[in-house]
Amino acid sequence: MTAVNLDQELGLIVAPGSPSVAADQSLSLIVEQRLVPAIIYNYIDQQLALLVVKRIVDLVQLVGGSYQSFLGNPLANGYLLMSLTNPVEIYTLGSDVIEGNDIRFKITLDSNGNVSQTPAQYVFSTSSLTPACTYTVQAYAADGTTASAPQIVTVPNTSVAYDVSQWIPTNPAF
Amino acid sequence: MATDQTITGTFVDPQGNPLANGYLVLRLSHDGQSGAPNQVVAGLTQRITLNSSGTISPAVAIYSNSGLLPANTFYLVRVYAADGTEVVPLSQITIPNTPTPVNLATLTWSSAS
Repeated sequence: MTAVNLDQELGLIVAPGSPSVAADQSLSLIVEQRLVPAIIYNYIDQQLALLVVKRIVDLVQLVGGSYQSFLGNPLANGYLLMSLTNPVEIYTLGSDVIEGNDIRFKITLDSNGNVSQTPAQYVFSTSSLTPACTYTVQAYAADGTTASAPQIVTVPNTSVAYDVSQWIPTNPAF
Repeated sequence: MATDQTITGTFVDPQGNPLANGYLVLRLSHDGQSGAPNQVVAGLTQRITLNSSGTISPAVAIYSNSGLLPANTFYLVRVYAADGTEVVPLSQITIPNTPTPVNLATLTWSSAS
């Protein structure tokens, strides 16, 4: 077993012969776990290599929105339901695996109709998911009244919180 | 930015009498994004009451359709007498962002039923 000098959560290298991953080896098995953004590559000078890669999808914090009626009244203490539009398999940082076709988040709004910050609200970034995914998001009033039509939206993988007021509705009539 | 328009108007019944204490029921046709930006939802029906002269008083602040994305949203409106009798059936109006305020009587009301 060779030493592992990788900047990763998990690394396993099986390499008969030379004890170094940087060495010129005839066979290696590397199991990697990397955080998103998942630019996964290795520089291996070998005759044969097998790479098993597990992608972990980060959560992105949502903020803003300023959900309101056409008279400017905030959707106070309402909420958003966000559903991934197609089945995906997600490995979370906590080592859980979420898989299925009904992965949903309930995002609470504050008294101003903005995404609550206490506690902060997170969803999976759609740009980190494979296959490509979008969310269907629908807004509800505090009493559960449906306040918006279902919208198809994306959540980019950003290093800062994502402001959902950037979404431009593309839905048919309510 | 909050609402970008103010609506006014006076309503009369078929006999020409002021629609005293009547009311309008409005709904936005589509969800929209205003320039702020804000998310303006279409699912919430709102009531605007008229005074004893059948007038929207005070004037009501509202999002204009021309201030929303995507383009081509409109409002669905019904007008009722004080006793709940429908005076104007479901109609469609488009509220511009100018002039401000805008008198609803100056807009084109088309049937939406």
